[in-house]
Amino acid sequence: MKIAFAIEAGDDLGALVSVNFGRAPRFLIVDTDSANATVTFDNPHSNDERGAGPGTVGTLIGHGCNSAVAGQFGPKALSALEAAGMTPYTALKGATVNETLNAVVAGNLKPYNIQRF
Amino acid sequence: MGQRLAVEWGSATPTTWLRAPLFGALDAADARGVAMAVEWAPDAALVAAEDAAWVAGPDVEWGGAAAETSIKQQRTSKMAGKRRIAIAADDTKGLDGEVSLHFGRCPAYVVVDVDGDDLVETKVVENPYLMNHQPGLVPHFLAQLGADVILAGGMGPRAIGMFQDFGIEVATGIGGNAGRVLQAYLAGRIQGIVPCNHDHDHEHGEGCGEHGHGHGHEHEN
Repeated sequence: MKIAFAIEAGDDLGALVSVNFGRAPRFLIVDTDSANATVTFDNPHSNDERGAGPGTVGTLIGHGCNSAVAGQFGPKALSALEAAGMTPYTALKGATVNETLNAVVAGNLKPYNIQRF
Repeated sequence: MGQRLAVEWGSATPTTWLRAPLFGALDAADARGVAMAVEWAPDAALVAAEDAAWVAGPDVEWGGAAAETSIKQQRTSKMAGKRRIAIAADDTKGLDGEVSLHFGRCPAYVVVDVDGDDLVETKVVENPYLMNHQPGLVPHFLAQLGADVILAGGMGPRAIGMFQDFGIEVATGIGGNAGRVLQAYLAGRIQGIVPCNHDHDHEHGEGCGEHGHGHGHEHEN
């Protein structure tokens, strides 16, 4: 599967996960079916005034991503991710792509879920 | 102050429910098999761990490779004192209605005054920015209403920051019936809490920052 990580900067698994999703500066996509091959690129929506979240989801759909990881997701991003069938995961402050990837793969990091009451 | 609980990260202990929130507090090299001592306080401590680890910035004393850390309790489990809680709503049914995923584009807010766990007054306020939401408008609006807390489905970091700038605590990642969400919040069961980022030592129930009760807003009857 292809997991998209919102990152601050860099090109490798040591990159720090970004707190932003729609306004993340860059994305790193890991293909776990291809020996963790990675693709990185600047986020074309990072400076969008409105709709950065859904726009970014669109970009990730184009890359065939199954999941997205960032520190936080806004409501429009969450709706767009749900509509796209992509699973959101929230990473932790200071976490790297590698640590978070391991946690996702090992099942220690659960998908972001709305707590329903 | 609470029990001291030793946990081994990654092991199948009851503490695995601490899971990811504390992951970020660990140094990368020590991320696995690290023994940590966590100073624990009732109920809302998990909430404190999550929000401490992410947004508020943990009050963590880090002993390097020795990996002993204590996370300072930021919230008490029982809210004391008067608070005004705004709940983003998908309808105008008040506490019988549904919490909205979109805090800025929802039709209304349920504004609840509580005293500790007791409900004092509830009203439904329509969202004046429903059709023309822009960043910053709703946090300002809710601050003018005297809200101490906003409960909503989803919120990005920029909006969270704006609420924090107004001294409003944020609880996100919640949905369902507004009344039950309110009860869950009062019981300290909501995980997605982002506290105000003022520096303060007082109990959170006293109100956040300089705008506790009695700050001059009008109560509509």
